[in-house]
Amino acid sequence: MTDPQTPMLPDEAGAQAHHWIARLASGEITETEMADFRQWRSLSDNEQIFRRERALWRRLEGVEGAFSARAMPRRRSGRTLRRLPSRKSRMLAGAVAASLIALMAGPQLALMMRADHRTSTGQVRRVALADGSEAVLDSGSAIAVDFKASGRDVTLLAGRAWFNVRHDDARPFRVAALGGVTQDIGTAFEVERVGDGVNVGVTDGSVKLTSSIQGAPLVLKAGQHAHYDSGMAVQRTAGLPTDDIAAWRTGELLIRDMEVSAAIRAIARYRKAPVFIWGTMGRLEPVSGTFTTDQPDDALATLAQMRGLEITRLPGGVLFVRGASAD
Amino acid sequence: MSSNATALTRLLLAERPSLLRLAKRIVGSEPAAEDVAQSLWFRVQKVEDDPPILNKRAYLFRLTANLARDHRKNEARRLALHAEAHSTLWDEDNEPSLEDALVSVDALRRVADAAERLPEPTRRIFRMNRFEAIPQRAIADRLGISSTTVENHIKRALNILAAARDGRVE
Repeated sequence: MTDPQTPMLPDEAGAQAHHWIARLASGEITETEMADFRQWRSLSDNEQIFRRERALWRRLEGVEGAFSARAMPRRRSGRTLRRLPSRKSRMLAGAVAASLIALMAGPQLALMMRADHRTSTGQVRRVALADGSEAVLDSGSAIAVDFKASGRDVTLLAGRAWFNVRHDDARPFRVAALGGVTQDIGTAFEVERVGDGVNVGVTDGSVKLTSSIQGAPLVLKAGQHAHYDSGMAVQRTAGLPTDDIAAWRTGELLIRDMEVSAAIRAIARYRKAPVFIWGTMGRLEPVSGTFTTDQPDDALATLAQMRGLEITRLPGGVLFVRGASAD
Repeated sequence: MSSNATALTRLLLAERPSLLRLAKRIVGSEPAAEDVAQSLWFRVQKVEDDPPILNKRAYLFRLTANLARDHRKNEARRLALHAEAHSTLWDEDNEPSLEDALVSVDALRRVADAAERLPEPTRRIFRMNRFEAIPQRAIADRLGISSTTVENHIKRALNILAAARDGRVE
């Protein structure tokens, strides 16, 4: 007996949400569809359902390994075999469970599971890559390396890195970050992930830069900079002169005409415990200064003095920074 | 073909390099200018003899400029649409703590198990779209299947993963 009041089955509503997620992710949604989607979303429970399914889509970031080509080599020898998890796949399931435990400790750790090279907070490390190129990773950064005969692909997973590339026309060297790709044309350059955007600066030679939606690449030469947000076009930006790009490699932290909150975040990168910013710092004059990466607290203290900020230290090294109580 | 269309087509072929330059100045890139030249060609085929066209060269350049401007406008709209779709999916209300609450760690573990057991080519197609950010049309081209099939694989994967999250058997 069915209840006439029965609401739509959850999987049915979920399937509608899945349809819209697939369309949003298609890269080719039309204006009509977008209007239909807005309309659908405004009806009854659809907003809730959409949010729930979108959370699933986003959270998959933490379990990418479970989708990887190598995670489970399939043997197609027998039908019954597929049902029984092999010893190897059980071990891999264990590895996935381990990555989830890491996830509980912090999403950062799950990300690091994918990395071939990474640095912890406060650490700057030089990595010799198999092709003779070198990468220098700033504090809290991670890269994944995939070198093949056809090309050398590096993915910047977190933070920033500077690359000095041994050029090889037959094997292009590419650095992917948030859907965009920086390709060397005989080069040393820096790629940095900041929130949902990526900054690229060239110290030597030139690079070709392509974002996920851009057909024609942008060529950057030594001393030039560009920025792209995930899924957006690449734009040229002003930036530090050549000698100062990636100065963190030598333990120097250069801040040039930077908004106060951005400067605090730039310094906080080198602290083990987080720094929280209270209120807005938008009304404060931008700051400039040269600090050392191994003394982030001194840098913060200097900054606080320059702009009249108040720093409160909590147990465990957590800092709260707030502007002088103007209001 | 009308005699106007014949004359314009001949002129188009002779003036192609400078028409392309004009289009490129407006749309900003070589491939986009080629697109404009393509639609120019189709447009010219449909031109009738009435009304007569006195200065055919001027007509051709004006038409190119108009088509290029339309192209640029459409491109801007397409980018804005793309940006809206992207931010709806990825950036809007992006509060990690809320998302964590919507998909618990236990649920995510079940999802990861289900992901490992996804049938092929569903799993591969889903990975290409979700993790390698390859547009569905490009996946379809690469695998030699239709975009609709690609979309169905992605929806199917989402259904299976959601069922695993909810502890339902699909």
